[in-house]
Amino acid sequence: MIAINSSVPSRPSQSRLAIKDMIDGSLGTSIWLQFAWQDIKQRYRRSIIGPLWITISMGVMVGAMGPLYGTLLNQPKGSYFQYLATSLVIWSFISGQIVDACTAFIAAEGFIKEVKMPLTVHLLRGIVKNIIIFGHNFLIVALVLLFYPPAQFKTMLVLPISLFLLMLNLSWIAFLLSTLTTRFRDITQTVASIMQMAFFLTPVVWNRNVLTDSGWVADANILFHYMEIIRAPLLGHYPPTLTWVVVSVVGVFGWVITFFLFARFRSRIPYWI
Amino acid sequence: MTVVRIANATVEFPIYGGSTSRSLKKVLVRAATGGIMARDAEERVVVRALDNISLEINEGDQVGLVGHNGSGKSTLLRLIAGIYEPISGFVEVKGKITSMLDIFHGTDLEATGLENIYMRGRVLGIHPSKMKAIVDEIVDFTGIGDFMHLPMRTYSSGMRMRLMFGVATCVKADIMLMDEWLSAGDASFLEKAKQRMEEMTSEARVLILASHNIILVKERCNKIVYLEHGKIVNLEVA
Repeated sequence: MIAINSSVPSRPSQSRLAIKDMIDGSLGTSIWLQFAWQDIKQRYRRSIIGPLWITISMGVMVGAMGPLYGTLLNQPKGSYFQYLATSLVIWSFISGQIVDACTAFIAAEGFIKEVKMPLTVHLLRGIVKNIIIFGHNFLIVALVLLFYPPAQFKTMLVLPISLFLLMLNLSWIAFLLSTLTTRFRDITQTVASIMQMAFFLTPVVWNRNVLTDSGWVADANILFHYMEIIRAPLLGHYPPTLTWVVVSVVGVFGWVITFFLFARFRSRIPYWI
Repeated sequence: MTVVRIANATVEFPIYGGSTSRSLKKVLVRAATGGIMARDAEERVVVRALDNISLEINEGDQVGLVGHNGSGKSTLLRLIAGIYEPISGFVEVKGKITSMLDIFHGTDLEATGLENIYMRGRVLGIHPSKMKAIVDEIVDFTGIGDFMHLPMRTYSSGMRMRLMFGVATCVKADIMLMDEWLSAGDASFLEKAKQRMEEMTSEARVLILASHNIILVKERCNKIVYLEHGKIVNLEVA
């Protein structure tokens, strides 16, 4: 029928294609920034105070839970307020990132099936969206720390490293979960309920100190370390060595495993959607 | 010069849901029980959308893909666009591709027409600095006027069609892929759209068009590919 040139071009390896996806995707800043911004605008399109809703609802939650749980847990008022405000804001950031990652590809079906675009773009969209929300909520932390200042501020100098390590972790989690949930849809629900349960099991509302002899319950929980690496410097402490080690090691190993998985299944994602 | 080369490409879709639901539990159970349930993995339902396709498209070709519903036209376009990577064989494309497969995919009905134009522009890889001129051109072409600043959900289907058509046709590309999409819009717009398409396709190095409409395909394409059940059954070269 048609003469086909028989020379077969060498197929690039799947790992190389995966790296290309990540690099091209990350470089397409204007795409994911625009998408993320659109998502934020979208949420508040018909509301009068707009994105401030995020801040207000978080503020109300802190204000309402503070006195009650401070009394229940027998904590001094000022330091508990500090603790609760930073904890809730950081927790909502981490859990938002994890829960959103589950639907990153599924929600982008329209784009994935229509235009050839690096898949990384759809993940960065969600990550940036949550960073913007975190920025809004951070106002509350700033406000609370203004009224109840921590013992020292110089610990905040480690925050850039803390944030880098946290994002290193949240990004592999995003790649891993988005790939898995596209294939196995019920993981989304599983993750959502695990995160709901984890809110109570992780020192968010309560402090690790109350555990006295059974501190391992917190130490064995990776989410505790993700929290602590940001929370401690904000409250005037340095994160414990264990936290630095755990977050770094899990970040690196998580990426190694995730990379293999993503390289292996990247090309299947459009078929699974 | 060969612009698109496809050799022995096969595309298969795994079908999940129904009896073979995409549930994690089933896979775990299968892994745990081994033997008997493992056969389930082999008996997974697969639809072979393209079966061992080979095709060469050269510089200047206007290719029409013709076939019934489900014959593999859209899948072939997506294969060329690089959205689906073949499970066997290979696809080689030289040049920048613009695909207009389903122009409503990825539109955000809550966002305004203008916002949608910007978003689409980014997705199609237009540099933000060039968007301004393109937006003016689209506003002019579509004749939507002040509706541009309203959410797209307030548009009639004809207006949506105009807008998305305008956006889709604002990019100059080497290789244009189109899937049966000229269906809505009133008569006067259809005429305008035809004209614009004419301009665009004359600039593209390669046009690949999927359609049911054999008459349309015959009058504009020099190569016609007949697809049936994912196979090329005939190739007419004018």
